[in-house]
Amino acid sequence: MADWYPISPRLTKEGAFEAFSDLENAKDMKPVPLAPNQRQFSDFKVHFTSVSLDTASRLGIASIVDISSASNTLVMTYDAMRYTETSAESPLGGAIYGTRWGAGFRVMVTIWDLQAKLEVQPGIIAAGVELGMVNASFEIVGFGIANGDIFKDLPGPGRFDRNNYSRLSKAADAINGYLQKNVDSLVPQPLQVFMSAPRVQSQLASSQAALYAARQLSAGKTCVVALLANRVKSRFNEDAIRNVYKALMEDFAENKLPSSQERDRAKDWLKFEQVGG
Amino acid sequence: MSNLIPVGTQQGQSPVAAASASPAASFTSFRVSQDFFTGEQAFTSSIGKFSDASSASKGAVVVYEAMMLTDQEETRTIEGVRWSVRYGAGIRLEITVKEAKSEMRFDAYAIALNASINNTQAEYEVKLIGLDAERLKGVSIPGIGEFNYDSYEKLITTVEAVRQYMVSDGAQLTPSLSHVRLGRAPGAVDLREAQSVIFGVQKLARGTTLLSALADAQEKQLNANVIRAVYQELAGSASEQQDPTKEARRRAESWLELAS
Repeated sequence: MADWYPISPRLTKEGAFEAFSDLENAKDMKPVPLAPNQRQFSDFKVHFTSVSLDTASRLGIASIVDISSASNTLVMTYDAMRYTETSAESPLGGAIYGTRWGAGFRVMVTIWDLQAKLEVQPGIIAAGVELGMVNASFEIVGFGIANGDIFKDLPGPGRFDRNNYSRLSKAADAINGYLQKNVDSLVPQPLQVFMSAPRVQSQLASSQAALYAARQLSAGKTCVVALLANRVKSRFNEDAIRNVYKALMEDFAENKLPSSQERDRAKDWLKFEQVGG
Repeated sequence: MSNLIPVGTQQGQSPVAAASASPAASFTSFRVSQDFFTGEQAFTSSIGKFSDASSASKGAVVVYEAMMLTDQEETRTIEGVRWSVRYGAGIRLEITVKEAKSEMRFDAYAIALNASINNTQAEYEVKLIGLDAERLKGVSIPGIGEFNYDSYEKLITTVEAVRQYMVSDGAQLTPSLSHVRLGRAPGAVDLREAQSVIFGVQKLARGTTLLSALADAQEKQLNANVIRAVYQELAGSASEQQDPTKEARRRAESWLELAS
């Protein structure tokens, strides 16, 4: 089901979302533009959402350090912004139906090791942090605001507890007042998109590509042959296959037959030996 | 974890730090954050106070910062690794926990409490980035010291004073190398992590309990957390002692077959 998702507003030179730059149709994944005479910053909203770390990473607002960090980790976002909504008759890149162009700030609370059955709402998570039930880190980023006055309303070092959550609620009011007064000097950024749930690739997929490549290498196949066989079934990322060949071969070239030493290295890797690379 | 990873600026500590520069650019946004990093992650980006990689592997670092940032992002390839670097100015507080314990909460407040009851040892360092300490009249910057509840309370006052200075008329902030942006390229493969994944899937396909798989993984020095993640993705949240279901084993077998 389609919904509004927070996204990194960084765009490529072609005006497409940088977060989607690895997709085949990357150049079409653009924000729906504002109409020439559309009134800017017409609405104010505090928008709350929670997504998995995989999805947050897909949207360019978080980074996955390793597979284990991706499981049991949630990212809660809280956007306080003035914005204007745009919508497209047919979805851009087949996925983006609408865009919220705005300015304001985004709070991202990453909740690690979410063992407790807590409802993911800012106030409840803040209480969970206070009770020592969850590990949470926070990040607050301004969009379209170069004035640091808001600093005084934002949390200092400590934790994402109820006190700091309350400060953020007050900061949202303060930022709305600031944005209203300074509309003329603000530049709207594409902060949210209306789209179906972003498809995320399993964190296990790159390991599957590595297994495939190491098996091909240990069987004495060149990288070209491995890539061609892969292409027939369109299974794994080609760069991942190349990278494994490069890491396990002393002297890599795509059409070079692996030496017996290189094949042994791949076999050792498949037996879980540490082979470097 | 954020996309923006704080990076140290001392020369000679890391390839990233060596790429320091101060371009002429104006600030376009602000950022206030508190994040924690494993010792290994911290050591790679020259944050925290570890003497070497071995001591870093036992620790963790909590970083609080209040910064103004520019929009400028540059890509630099250093020793074969592509880094996207960002520029900012402000205050950063780094809290280094020498020996991280799994039951600990990694925020400044919890570490301060733990250190005060001798449950852990921690050090702090205050870094001013792109900000001239001499202009901070009347603000005492403690620099480096032992981190406990007493120092925590003093540091809150310091951070508050610096934040006030940053929004004052006389503030002089110079964009300086402050962060690298992390994002795994679509084709990037961590070979050691991949081995842990494959090991986990193989064990699951053979019907091994997670508990036994973890014990076997220890011999081969594979990553237990990754194996846990594999079991969770393919077998759901069964207990560590529970035999995998037929369905979970079948999923693991299919996963292995697909890579043939």
